[in-house]
Amino acid sequence: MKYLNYKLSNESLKIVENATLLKNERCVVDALEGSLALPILIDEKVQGYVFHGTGKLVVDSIIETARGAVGKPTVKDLKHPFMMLGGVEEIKDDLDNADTSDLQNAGYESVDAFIEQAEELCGRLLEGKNCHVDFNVDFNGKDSRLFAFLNEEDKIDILVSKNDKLVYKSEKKVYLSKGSKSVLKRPKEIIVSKKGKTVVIANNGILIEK
Amino acid sequence: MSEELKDEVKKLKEELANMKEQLSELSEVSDRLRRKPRGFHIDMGGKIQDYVGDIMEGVAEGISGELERSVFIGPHGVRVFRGRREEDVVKTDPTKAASAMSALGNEYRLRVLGELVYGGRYISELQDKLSEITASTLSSHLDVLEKAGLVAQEKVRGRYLITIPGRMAYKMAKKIARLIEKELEPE
Repeated sequence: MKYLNYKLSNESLKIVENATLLKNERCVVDALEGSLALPILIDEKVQGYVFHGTGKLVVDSIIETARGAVGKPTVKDLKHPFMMLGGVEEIKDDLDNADTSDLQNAGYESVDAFIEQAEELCGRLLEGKNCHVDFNVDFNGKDSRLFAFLNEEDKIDILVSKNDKLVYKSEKKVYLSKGSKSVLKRPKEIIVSKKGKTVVIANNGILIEK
Repeated sequence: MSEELKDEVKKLKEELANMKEQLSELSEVSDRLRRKPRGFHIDMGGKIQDYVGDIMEGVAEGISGELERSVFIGPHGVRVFRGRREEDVVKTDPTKAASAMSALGNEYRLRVLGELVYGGRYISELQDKLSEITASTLSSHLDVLEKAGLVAQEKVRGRYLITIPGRMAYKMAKKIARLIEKELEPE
């Protein structure tokens, strides 16, 4: 399913107090005070926001194996626009109307410039223009979120979280976690771990440890 | 002397010559058995001269100052290292190697690794085990281990985990300590 019937609000908002957009055992997404937010309407209801300002993404993209931990945590400053679907109710109290100075602080001359930037990001994700992502997730649940982060290379990093399930995909890394099961794909190797059992698929062979 | 007696003396002389020959053969076999090495047997295949040559070359290199790097004689046989060892040394960044070794060179850091071998730990759990050092000292030891790549910290939960290099380094440190201890034991 693709969300083709979305539209962006023309009312820009700002975060009035540092807000945690997502927090669970594996990841945290924070948006800091002063960041801009533009509501995304799907089926005429606010289902998410495009943010731009300052924020932080942390994903513990580490796998524990019998031989030791593999991988490093992902820690990124969110300086570029990013989109969030879900979690609307949890954040609405942290939002207020943005004025011209708030937009200028974020580098926009007017609200139209911010909308244009937000449309570009949503278009790439929701219409699958440049980033072919199909998703069919219920974002009404309290812990369900989908994030799309524009990165330094103008590519889109994706984070999907629902209850104890987590998927993070960036240019060089894919990390999946569900309970005691984890998968990490890095350049040259894929590591799969489940309850202490590990399979490593690499260029030079396959290693299975029980 | 009768003809009969002459024949008898001739037979005895032949038998004596035969016995001397047999004795000589037995003596050679005995010498070979005495020379056979004890302790372990090395299957050197066909090119024995090349093999011995390699060993001698290794020994010669060792005599010039690096004996222990050239030939190892252990319970599983002889291993001769030529050339490749030099490459290894060149390829390994000494700064990184020194950093890893330096991270291991502290009793408390080794004890931290010893705790993490059994699973991820929060700093409070490590503090309980290493109560004789302050929280800030423990934190700086963890920073050293993390920078050396021997531990990784989960940034969300805060747990510390031992990495694959960390586990290997800890095992190596323990093994070296045991070997040194054994060597220093009075004979």
